[in-house]
Amino acid sequence: MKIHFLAVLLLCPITAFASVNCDIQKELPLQLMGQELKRSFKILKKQNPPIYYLSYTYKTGENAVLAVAYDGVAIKRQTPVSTAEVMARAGSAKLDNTHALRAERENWALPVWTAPIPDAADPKGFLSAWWRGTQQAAENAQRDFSRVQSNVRTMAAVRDQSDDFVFPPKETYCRTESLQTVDLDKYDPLLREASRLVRGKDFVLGASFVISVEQGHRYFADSQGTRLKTPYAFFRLSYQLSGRGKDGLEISRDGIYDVFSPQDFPSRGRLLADVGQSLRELEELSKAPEGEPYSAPTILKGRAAAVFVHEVMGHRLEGYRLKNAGDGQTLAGKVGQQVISPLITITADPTQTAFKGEPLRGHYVYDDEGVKAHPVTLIENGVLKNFLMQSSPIEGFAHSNGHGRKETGYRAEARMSVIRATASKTVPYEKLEEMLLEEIKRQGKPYGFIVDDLGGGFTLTGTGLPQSFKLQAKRVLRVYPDGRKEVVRGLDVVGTPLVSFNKILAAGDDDTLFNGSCGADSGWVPQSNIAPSLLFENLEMEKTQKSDFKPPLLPAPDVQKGGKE
Amino acid sequence: MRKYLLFCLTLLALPLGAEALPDNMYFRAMHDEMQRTRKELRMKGGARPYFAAYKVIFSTTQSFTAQFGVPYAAPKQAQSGLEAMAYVYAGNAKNNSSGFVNNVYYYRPATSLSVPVSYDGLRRILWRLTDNAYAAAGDSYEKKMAYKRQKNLTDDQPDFSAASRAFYVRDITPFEPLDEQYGQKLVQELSAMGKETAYLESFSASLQISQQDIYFLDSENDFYQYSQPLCSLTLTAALRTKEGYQENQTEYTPFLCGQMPSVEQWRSKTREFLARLDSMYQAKKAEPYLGPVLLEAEAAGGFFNQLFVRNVNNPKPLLSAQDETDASTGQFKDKRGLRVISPFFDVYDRPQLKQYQGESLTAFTPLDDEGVQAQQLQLVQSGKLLTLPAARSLIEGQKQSNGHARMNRWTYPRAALTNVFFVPQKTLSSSQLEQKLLERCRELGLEYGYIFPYFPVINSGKGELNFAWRIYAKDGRREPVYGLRLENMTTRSLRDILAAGENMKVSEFSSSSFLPVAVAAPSILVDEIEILPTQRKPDRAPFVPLP
Repeated sequence: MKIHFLAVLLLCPITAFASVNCDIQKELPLQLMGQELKRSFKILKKQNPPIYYLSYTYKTGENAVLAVAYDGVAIKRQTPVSTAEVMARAGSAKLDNTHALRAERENWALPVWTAPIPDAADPKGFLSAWWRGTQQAAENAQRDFSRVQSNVRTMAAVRDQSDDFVFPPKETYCRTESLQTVDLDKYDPLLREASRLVRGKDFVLGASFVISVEQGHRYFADSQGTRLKTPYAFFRLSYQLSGRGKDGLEISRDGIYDVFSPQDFPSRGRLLADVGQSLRELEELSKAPEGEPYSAPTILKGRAAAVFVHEVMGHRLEGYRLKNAGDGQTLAGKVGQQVISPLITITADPTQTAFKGEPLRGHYVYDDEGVKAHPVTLIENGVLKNFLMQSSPIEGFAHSNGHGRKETGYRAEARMSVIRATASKTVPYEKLEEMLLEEIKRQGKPYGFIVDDLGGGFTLTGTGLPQSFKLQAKRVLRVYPDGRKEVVRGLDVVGTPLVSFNKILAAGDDDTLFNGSCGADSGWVPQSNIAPSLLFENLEMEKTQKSDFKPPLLPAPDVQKGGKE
Repeated sequence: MRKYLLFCLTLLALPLGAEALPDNMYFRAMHDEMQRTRKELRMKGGARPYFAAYKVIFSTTQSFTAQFGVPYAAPKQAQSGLEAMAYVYAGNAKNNSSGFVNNVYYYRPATSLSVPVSYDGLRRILWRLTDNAYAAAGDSYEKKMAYKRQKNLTDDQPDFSAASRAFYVRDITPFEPLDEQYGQKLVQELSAMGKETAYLESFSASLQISQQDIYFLDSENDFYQYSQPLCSLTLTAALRTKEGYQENQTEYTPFLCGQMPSVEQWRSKTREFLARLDSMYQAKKAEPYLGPVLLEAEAAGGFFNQLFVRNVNNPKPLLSAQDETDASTGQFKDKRGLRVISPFFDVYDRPQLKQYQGESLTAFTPLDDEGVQAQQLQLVQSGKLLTLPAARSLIEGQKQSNGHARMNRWTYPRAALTNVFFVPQKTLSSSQLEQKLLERCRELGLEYGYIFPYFPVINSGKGELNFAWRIYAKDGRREPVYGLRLENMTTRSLRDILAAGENMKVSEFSSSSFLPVAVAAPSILVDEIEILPTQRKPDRAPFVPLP
């Protein structure tokens, strides 16, 4: 009785202080989802093996895309979204169907049932869709649980024996946002005008100018009684320009503008100026010499540093990886230890909505397991403090901190949200470049590097391969001891995380945001990464992969022989 | 070299003349890039481009879907998109790059989806596709020549036969969208009819109104342009039968755009579908059977498509250094003059037919994709195979292309049928046909025979059918049956047809390369089909009853 009383006391404030602008009780989709979930769960929990946890996610909204190239519309589409997902857990919180298998991954593909669903306006269609999904998800969960039981009996034990699940606290939250009107036709002339800047440019092989919109609401209900309605909205204008050298080396420049509302898309003047600048950079790259593999003092500038933090350290801070026997578990057992340069602190804070006026794509209020988002200090002055956690405990970390994230159709895993690296001591960027020159001279190197932009990359965390990273450098400057700079093509940044992060000598005061989407085990999720420019004692550059194909034999049709329009 | 120069001069000298290209953005872009391809595209030391073609398709689709009377989320406006394909043959008329693959699953033109709809956009895409196609052709040419030398292959037939110039132009009419409210209301009403049937787990209706505007130009100045409207209504249901089998059923009904059946006709169609679902729900499992089967017209269409059309298509095998047997080649390539089907059948291919019995024929082909006018063929006379479809790459016994080289994004042009008509010389009424089935059962001492409303996909002689009628020889009583596995289905069955009905029905299918093919056929009585029960297991009853 005491426990129940305490539980009520603990739960009350959560409900009372939840930020709401609508009444969850009056939300028809949630009423119906709750009704069907309750009816099903009552029966499913008595099956053998029991379904001990059940959750429903319903997304409804609108996606829109306008893609333009060479003065023509390639795609113009506005599509309503209406998707249902059912997650069932069979067995018990100690051991369930989601337990990481050894030597196989057969419980991976179908723990979640996903399908388009009719509108909730007519309960018959809506309810019967949830009923079908629940049946399918429960059958899959039971089948997978039998695989897990067999696997646990026959395979070697894993180091981390934590439970497979921790019940998330009951939450209630209701927020409605009006969907913003997006008139794609309005942006058509602007994108066409920008696309015409490519005309006559012989170094441009491909170009695209895109507006994409995803907005709507997510409804979440689970067998714990959590009922959530949360809005989501992503508005992006982007462009990409690409080319290919005679040696098959591909080059590209791009521009990305994430905004809170379509009204905030860049002005005509700014967009055209940026595209013009990107074209100049692409032309410069097309004529640049090919870089050579080398290890030297290096600055990763703003956006490049943000990508570096994400790929090299961020993925290794995702807690679930520590339970997976096939994972390298770089940071397992190192809590409280110095793991990177003491200059650096890394946090994750999905509750942040903006940085320097720009929206953060990694922001959310509740994660995809219905857990409230919490800010987390992951590494403080180089010392490991915490991990990104979902509702699957790891040794020493029993609860989720609201980082269970996934793409529709996937199972949630601990993923990054708004990840930020800060430095305890910073210098103006100009000073950082001076320090780079000093370091080049001190080491007696013929040159160092400034990586101006990283396009993305990947990091290997499994034990079957070297647990290294490779980042695609889109624009690299070779910097000579006399301060002269030269653009080079065809280099990637490579290395291993613990060594690289300990080579940080200094940081700039120019914190920069890189908004992106990250693809990993639980699909593609929107993320934000913030970091200052970082000076490294040295970083290793290696040659990038080249295309097997030459540029086209003939010049582009809008380019006359000699390269002019 | 002289021959090549002569060829180029001939091409360049060809006037557009009376058959001028239609003046639109698509042809301007294709023509301008084709001119450049002819004049300038050369790879140093490589085989020259010998023939090139572009095909551009602008598609517009409007769709409405509802389940149990509730609309599904769907785009607000009709969606459109532009697709472009290009292919290049390198070499010369005697020996060129066509017909050779390193991988038999990848014999495709260079294709781009989501092409920007503008002159500049299409030009740029055609430029890159041509370059890719030429690089692939140059590679194939060298490898093909090496393979032919290695295998000591000599072929008297040229790789690319001559053909007269041809063109076909029809005005492109703008896409006419359906009134949104009407379309939405219709699918809601039809799908709501499934609400009354308790065992249905889902029941949806989907209406599609679409149009493809197709443009083609080759380096010999053959061209075509026309619109292909496509409209259909699809009913889809999911149910769990009394015995616990989960079944999905679909009823696809094409109709002529602009001549949509009335709401009452759609209701009637939906009621028929629901009645069939009810039969399926009640059905008993099949038992081993060897005997006569009556194939209703739609099933007969499937039967002919599987056993005849697929064996007539692609008569010229592709050469490959990896696999010497081209599985896509039809079995009838060497059977001209032999009886391939029962002697009271004639078979025709009618590529120029655009509509039949109130349906648009999507295999309509005025000119083929090598720029040759498509000809009507009599493929079979009194059961004997007379001729085969031909592309410009001929097989022994063929003198010239008959305009059947068909291409899409999954295949370079290969000889394939279009609208195939199976015409019986003698027919029976449907009741006579059923009586003949029962008589044959009695002759064979069988308690019952079978009637198939559909015909399954056959792979290696086997196919699974989830619904059929058992009909008793004693009193003609019908009983629904599920779970039939057809065994040993070979081309032999074509010669086992005992009788045909008088009710021609057209059914649409896809070839192995996803080319549309229409088969018009009557109901037929096949003397012997072997049936075994499928090995499917029933699913357990749902944990939770339907809401």
